[in-house]
Amino acid sequence: MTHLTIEQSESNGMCILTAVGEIDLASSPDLETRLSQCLGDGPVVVDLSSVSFIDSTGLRVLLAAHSGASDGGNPLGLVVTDGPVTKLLSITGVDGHLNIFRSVDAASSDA
Amino acid sequence: MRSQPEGPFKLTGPSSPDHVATARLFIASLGRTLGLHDEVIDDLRLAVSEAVTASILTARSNEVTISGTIGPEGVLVQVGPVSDQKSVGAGPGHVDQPSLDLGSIVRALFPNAAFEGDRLVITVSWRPPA
Repeated sequence: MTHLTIEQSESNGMCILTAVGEIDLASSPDLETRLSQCLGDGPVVVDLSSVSFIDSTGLRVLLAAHSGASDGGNPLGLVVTDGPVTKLLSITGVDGHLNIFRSVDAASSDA
Repeated sequence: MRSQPEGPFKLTGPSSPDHVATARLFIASLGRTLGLHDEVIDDLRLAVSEAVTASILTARSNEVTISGTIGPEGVLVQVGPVSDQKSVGAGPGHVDQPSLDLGSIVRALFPNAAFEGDRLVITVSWRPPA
């Protein structure tokens, strides 16, 4: 059952991954794969504003990617709006550990 | 006066990643049938997803069960087999984040959540929160 789609685009040398759907144990490996493909090539932005569900499995993937991106010198930005992603970041207290933006434009400007 | 159906409910499925979404659909459908607030339904979806995932990752059984009872005071939801152990590092990412363990997340959503035997137990009262 596929309940997550990830579209990839590029803008000014930056990889933009747009995730739509649900991120859980079944779908998070797809996100992990796409992130690993992008992370060595430059800045990466993951647009999570159309993610309707995420649990700690998905959050672990994002945290690991953030850590890897920081180590490699390529920043990882997350685009998050009010909703399930914001809630999970808040209750787990990891929102301060990630680069969070309200829009792709804002993330691109910061990269 | 509420007029929800009363009685037991149960969903048993395979201990596989695809079942996590099925479990969320089940608990969300139940919540809507009972007229629970959307925010409570979203919290139940997350709690059940976390518990079913923890059960699968720890491979405690070939099956995962969501069961419970709808009663005059509220709905009691049980998920198992699962325990209050740290599940850090079990999933993709392997990042050491103590706040990502099952108990921490579920209790942030439902402070009355408890582990009884090999079950996570959550009680949702019909009474609105104070």
